Amino acid sequence: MSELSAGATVALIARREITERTRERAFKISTGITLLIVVGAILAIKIFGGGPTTYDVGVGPGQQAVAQAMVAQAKQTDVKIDLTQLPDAAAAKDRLDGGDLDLALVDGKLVVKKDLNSELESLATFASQQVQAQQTLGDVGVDGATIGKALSPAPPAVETLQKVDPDRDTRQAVAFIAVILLYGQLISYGITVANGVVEEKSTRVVEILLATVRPRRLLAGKVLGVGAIGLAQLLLIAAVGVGTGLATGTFSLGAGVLGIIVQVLVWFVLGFTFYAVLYAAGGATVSRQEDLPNATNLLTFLVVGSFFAAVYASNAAGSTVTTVLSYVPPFSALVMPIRYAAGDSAWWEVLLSMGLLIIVTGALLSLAARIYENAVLQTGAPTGWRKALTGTSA
Amino acid sequence: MLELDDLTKSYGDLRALDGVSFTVPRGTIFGFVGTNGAGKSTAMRIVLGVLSADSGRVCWEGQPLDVAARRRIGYMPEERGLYPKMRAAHQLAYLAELHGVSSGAADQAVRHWLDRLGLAERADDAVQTLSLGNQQRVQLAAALVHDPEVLVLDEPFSGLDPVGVDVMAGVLRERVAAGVACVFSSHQLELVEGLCDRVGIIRAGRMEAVGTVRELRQGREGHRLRVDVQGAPEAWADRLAVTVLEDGTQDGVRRTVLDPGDVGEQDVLDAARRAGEVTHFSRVEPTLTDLFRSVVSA
Repeated sequence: MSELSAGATVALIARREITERTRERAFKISTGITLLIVVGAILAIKIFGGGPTTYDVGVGPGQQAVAQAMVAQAKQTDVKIDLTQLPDAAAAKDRLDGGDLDLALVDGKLVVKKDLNSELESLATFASQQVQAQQTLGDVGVDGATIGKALSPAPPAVETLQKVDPDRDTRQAVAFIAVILLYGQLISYGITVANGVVEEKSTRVVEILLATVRPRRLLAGKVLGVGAIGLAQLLLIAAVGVGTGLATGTFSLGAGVLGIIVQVLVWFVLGFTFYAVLYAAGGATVSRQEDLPNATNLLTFLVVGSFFAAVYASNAAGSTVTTVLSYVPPFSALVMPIRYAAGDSAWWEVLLSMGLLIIVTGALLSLAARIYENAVLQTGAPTGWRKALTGTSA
Repeated sequence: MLELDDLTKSYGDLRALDGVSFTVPRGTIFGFVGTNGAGKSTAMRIVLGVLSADSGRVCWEGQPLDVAARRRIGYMPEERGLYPKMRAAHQLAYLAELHGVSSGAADQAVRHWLDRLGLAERADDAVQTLSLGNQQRVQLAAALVHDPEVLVLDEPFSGLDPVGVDVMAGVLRERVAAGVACVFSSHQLELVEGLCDRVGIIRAGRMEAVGTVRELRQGREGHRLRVDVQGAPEAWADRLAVTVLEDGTQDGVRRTVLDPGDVGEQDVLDAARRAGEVTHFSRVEPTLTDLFRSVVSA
């Protein structure tokens, strides 16, 4: 029997975390569900994202000219019009009621079930006015070619001052899904660490462990083991997600998608370390599972707050608040990928922000480890943070 | 030899340990008794290093115990500690490896102890699915699986059925015969008396008595007499200057246990004969329970 090295001890503890946790049925089920959601979300981007909007328009007797004008006009914008011929007004009413049509052209009127879509309204109005104008001009003897020229002038050319990145939308969509997943991993694996610490305390197995293992090694092994599971799960999700995206042609890796995925994986490692040691310290201050939410609600608030910051950032890409939050730990872990995907930050900014999180985590690490060490063997009522920090007993 | 030397520990104003000292040589069992809250668990947790003493030290073979030396201790905490969802064999192998046993040797030790404790069939069951008695056996295996030189067991017998008690006692005797130093706490004093080479009685953080049961008896004033007298009247011994400890009648025979104090044994016998027909007259050695009561109530 020889004393184990620090590395061997930590590895042994991490290995136990990995084998025991991945054996759990709940883990397998949640992994499966997450994979399904990711595949579903990517298919949704494929189906609903991009591509032209299509409207179904019914054409009553004598409305053919307006309908054709609508189709012609729609071609110039990114809208598609599907026409259906209707025998009479009654048929139009039936089809509208059944939800088959968005609009019916009957007797010179625009008939809808309830609300007229504004895009469709302007198309139909424009087409109807155009047909009427054509008629009026034809009546006064203007020839067809002139009418066409007068009513369909060439649109002015658009000059773009800033270069538009055609892949930006895809990248932002991928980043948003990735950040939702990252948020889910951070909160669930952070809580897993806290639960694990409380489990060891409440079952008193910690007494046996700490009779032979130094507290910091136990903490390191647990954080490492749980983190490895979280990272592996995220990698699997990323692999399946990218596979689905490529197979369905929803995105290509050239669009900067790979950079975002790699970045999010790194953010997981950094963010998880930040939260995990704090969750472990929080868990160490209580002896019963039911006291845990109270001890960790500040942390949970931080993770959820970061997520809302990320949602805000995705709607306010260029704002000052977004820029600031993309640097402030731990918000940066969820906000920076969004900002980067919008094309608002360079690689060096991402690295700088990661560096800040590493520095803050490093500073918190010894603090959290001290709380853990002092509190993990205290049983009974929850240990106050101050008491846990200073290590003074009752 | 395990040596606890002048340990003190206070929780605020409460003095949990007040100069606790005793030794446990290799190949002996030390029984640690005391009322609830007297300081037994505190002393044991200090030996294991899960609690630190305010002063005093714990030595093994003359060297103060450090983390490395504590790997040679097998520990059973007062409140049982195992991972509930982990399978018994995996759990034991894990604990053995944490104590520095190689993985091959750990598997072998796990098989040996599960067999020895009658748990071979339960090796792959999660601990939480085992009966309480079997959980206790796994807990003992957890203390033994790294082949420790010292066993520190806090209430190892509590909650065991008689068969379990026999298995536990048998294993302790076997390990001690192999040279292990063992200290355990218990409230089952008959068990302690039968199993232990030496006993320590702790009260309110102070060791009130330490020694073999025989030595403890000698240290106590007086001995006792048991007198059975057929047809004796109540209070037949009242004229003697003795202290009556027990008195009762069954089937017309009055059994009296008394502390004769300065009264001669023959004088007590004479008085008994005057009271009726003496059917039994003997010296009674105080049991550990008697000694414990007299220490605790002193």
